[in-house]
Amino acid sequence: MLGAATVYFVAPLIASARFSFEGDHGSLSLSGYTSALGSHEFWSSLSLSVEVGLGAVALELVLMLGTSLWVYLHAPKWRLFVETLTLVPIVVPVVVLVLGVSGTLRFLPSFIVFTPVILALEYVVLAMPYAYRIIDSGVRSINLSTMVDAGRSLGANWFRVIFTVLLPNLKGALLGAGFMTFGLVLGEYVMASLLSFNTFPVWLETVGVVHATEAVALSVLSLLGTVVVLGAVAIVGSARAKDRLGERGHDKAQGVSTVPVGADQR
Amino acid sequence: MSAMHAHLDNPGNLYMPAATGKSPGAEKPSAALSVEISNLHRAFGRVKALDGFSLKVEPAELMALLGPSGSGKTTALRVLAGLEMADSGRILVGDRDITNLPAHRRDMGMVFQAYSLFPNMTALENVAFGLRVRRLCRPERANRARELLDLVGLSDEANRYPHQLSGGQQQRVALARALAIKPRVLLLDEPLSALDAAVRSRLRDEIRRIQLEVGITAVFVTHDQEEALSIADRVAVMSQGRLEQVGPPQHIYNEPANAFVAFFLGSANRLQATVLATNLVQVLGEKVRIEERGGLESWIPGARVEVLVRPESLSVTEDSSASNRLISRTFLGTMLRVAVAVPGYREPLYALLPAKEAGWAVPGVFVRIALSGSPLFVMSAHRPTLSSEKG
Repeated sequence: MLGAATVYFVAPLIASARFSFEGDHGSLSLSGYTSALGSHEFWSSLSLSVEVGLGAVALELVLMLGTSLWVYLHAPKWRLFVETLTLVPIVVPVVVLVLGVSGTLRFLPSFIVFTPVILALEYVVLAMPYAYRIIDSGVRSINLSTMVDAGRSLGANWFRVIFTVLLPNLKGALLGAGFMTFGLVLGEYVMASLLSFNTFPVWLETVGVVHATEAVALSVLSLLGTVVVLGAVAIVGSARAKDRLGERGHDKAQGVSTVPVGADQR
Repeated sequence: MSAMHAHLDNPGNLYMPAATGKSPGAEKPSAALSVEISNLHRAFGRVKALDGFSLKVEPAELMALLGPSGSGKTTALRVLAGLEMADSGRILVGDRDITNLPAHRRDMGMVFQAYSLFPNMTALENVAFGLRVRRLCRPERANRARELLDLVGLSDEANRYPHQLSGGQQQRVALARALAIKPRVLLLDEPLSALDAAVRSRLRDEIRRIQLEVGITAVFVTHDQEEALSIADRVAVMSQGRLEQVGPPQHIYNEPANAFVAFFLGSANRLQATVLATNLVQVLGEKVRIEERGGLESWIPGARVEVLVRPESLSVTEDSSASNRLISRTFLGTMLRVAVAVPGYREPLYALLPAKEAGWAVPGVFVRIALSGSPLFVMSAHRPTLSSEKG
């Protein structure tokens, strides 16, 4: 079963990689890669996607974290309403979403409405259901209200409590929500196309019509890039886990046992 | 040097509260402050959590706020800490009115019921957090944090993270963290309730030792009467957002102000009695002089009344000719608590017997009951509604 699943997922990737190296008359060639990477439009579209992605991530994290904290600390009765509200982008078709958000935000200044900023705002809405849930589960996993109270009673104002106590303890959830939003933006085609922005996926699709090898080569590169980033995240995560295990091992070597919460008890 | 730095930088007086911000050495180590709470009101919707609550805590005193769930004790503590704002009323710490100050400007050290250490910081960093907020330099705050960890006996655990500490150790670190900022008042919100019995007892004694050593004014919220009686200089019993009685533990136990306090603090039996004259009743066949504190309006000879009697003030002896039947026994270590069904009483009467001498006290035996100590007080025979009655 595992073998069949592996073939199902890996075979197309191998075929794509093989195709991306195909030159004239079936020869092996790097022309697909060199041509794509040498294209000015490749870099400009990628740059646009990254900029929009970073903007969307920043805005998404601020809005969703703020909302989740507000609901948790001050308005728990509103939790169900907010959770339902954040699900709306999933059930509304993307076309309707684009038109709806654009129409609603038409009153904004032209440097927002007629620039990629509007695209970032659209992506904030699109990523909201996923980002909110990731952040909200992080917020619920820590003893938030007690930590806030403890921080304030120790003399920290709200700003300090958020930046020195809450954010470090929500790092995992924020990173998860950020990566998810960024990944969504880098791969999103319909919104960008409807709003006539030449982002990376839009350019890829355009190139694919006439230069299939280049498009596939860039898809393979994107995939490799994603694997490298995820691998780096996994390595960093496991290194931290090892550090902590190392600390415990060191403690045990010194004859100090690590006692789980509630077990000790001196 | 700021006022805050002034009180933090006094090496000779590690725990002196931030009372006046005078230069180091200007205050005596015993500069603990009083707390005066006047007529506090706080409502959550229609629920009155505090309803005219007033209390004065003397300098360096450990005051226990005791009451059942929903009595308003935690709300009172949170209002004192500034984590909740009162709808009306006034709070003075020393001569300073802190009623409208936000929490982060009150200089209150607080230990919470739930584990409240910051998971991303080590024990040392947790203790140093309040000092970092006050912008003490790194070596100084590390030194002070180590001293406080030493005070709570955790200097070897300084570099451990909260998840590597037991519950008891976490609460000790939380105590050290609260004391590190040299608070004006130490507030403890049921800090032992998440711990098991053995640790709770040990940590309770340790909190008391440290409070006396530091000489700080402290308010300790608990719903555990044993905890309150054993740790506090004075106990304030609360019910429905109001103060029912305040006084030394022994005084409150022996002379409760009303039926609520009598039943909440310890156990009490309701015995049927008849008025013979003013301050004189007949109960269990005996004439007893008694003080009225239960709302008895007049001493009409012949009137049926009830007197409250602690279990330890009843003696129970085996008597096969009596009509009272022992129905259950509970082993409490050195003492045995027995429940006796008495004809004419809806509820059993409870008494305490020395466990070693109570081998005969088994369910089913007939017993005689007599008064062996003074009743608490007399009250009208009608039953007031009590939120907590114990047998």
